[in-house]
Amino acid sequence: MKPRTKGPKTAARAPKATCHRLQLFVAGTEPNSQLARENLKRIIAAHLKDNCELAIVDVLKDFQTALAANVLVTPALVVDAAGTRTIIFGNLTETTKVLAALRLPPARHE
Amino acid sequence: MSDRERIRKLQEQLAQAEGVIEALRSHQVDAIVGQDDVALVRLREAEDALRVSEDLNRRTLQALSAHIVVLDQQGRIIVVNEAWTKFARRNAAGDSATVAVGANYLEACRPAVAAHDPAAVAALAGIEAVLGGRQEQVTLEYPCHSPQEERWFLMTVVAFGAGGAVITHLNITARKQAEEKLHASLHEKEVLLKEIHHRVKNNLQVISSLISLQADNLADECQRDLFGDLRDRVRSMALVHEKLYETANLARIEFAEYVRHLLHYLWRAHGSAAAAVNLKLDLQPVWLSAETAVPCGLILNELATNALKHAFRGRADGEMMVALQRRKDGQVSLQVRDNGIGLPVGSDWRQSRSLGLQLVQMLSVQLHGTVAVRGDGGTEFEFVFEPPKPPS
Repeated sequence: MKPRTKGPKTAARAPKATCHRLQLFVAGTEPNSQLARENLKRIIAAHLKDNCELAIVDVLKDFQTALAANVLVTPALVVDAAGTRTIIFGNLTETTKVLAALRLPPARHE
Repeated sequence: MSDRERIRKLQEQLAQAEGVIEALRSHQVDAIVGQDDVALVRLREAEDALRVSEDLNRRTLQALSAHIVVLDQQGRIIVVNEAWTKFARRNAAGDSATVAVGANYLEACRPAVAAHDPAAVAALAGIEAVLGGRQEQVTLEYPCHSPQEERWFLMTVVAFGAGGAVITHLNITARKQAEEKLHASLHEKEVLLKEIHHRVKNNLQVISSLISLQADNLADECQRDLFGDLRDRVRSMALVHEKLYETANLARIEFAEYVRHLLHYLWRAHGSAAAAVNLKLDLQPVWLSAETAVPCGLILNELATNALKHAFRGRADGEMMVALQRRKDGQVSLQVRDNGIGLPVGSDWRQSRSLGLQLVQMLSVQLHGTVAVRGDGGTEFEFVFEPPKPPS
């Protein structure tokens, strides 16, 4: 545990407050879907660690969930954080766009 | 819902639509989710492949050094390549637009056809034959010299698509010039070879004249005869070279013609002894190489001379028959038959001490041939051999 000035209590509570709920909609193992999976895995490892819940939905098996989430094309990443929902379409190659949706520091910089 | 909220909602929808369009445009979409199904989007790979192959085709056409033009059925130019354009720009007198895309190529050919340029007449006829579907392909070599240099082209017209044609003009000047050089060099070699055969024949003739002169000074008739035989042998060899430079072939001679010529000479050379002998010929045309013709000629010389000298001894007249034929098995047969006194009873010609008959034996072995002798109211020698195949 790193020593912090603001005390351990707030630090322990912080993850809960910023917890992201992520839903990645893919179409089987189609090239862009595969790419989106890998990109998201990389982003989570670098920026979110365990601070998120990820669900992957394959629209080829379950498209009703996609319809309900208003996802019209795949791959698509639905981000629920701090009471707002953002959808990013595409294979998640543009990391900054994903980070902006996640409201993480690099995006705030811009 | 307040107006403000409604506007915010619409803005959200717009932003989302924008995201979808952007993902679609950048080919990052795999599937479209509909009300009751999912459609996979797999256009991208096919589109890319098409784009790549179109680009490849275009670049290949441009990279080819041949001048290429594609015509539609009416002869209008649809496509040209870089090499075509460059050549047209350099060569079209003033107006290269007559052979650019959109122009009619047949019309562009007409002025040269009207001027009776034979290459243009043939080219136009070829193009029209392909466009009219009468021919699949036409090729034509033609000169197209510029004031500065000699140029040759190979034109190929190939039927293309629905009634059109692809025309290729390939510069073949280098090949043409190499061909001409080869022809010139070949001609030079032929002239030289002819000259060599001529000189060999002349030298052999000088030798036979020298032998004749020497023989004239001899008192002994027997010795004169020996010199005469020698002269005839040299003469029969000279005759092969004479025939060689007389024929266009330079490598082979027509042996029947040689036989006629040699016997005519022998009859003249043997004067009164030959005058009483009636010569009959049955000759088929047979082509022999110089290497085969020389020993074969010597064999004929020995057999004919031998018959003239010995076969009709004590007779007032006689008949000699010489036959030449190529048999069905490919072998050549040379027969010398006389109705003279025949060989001495019980003698074997192979044991003969006569130089002439020894020569016949040696030369027939050299040609891998056989000699058969029959005596029935005279003597018949038949020499059979297989002439070596000419190198192909």
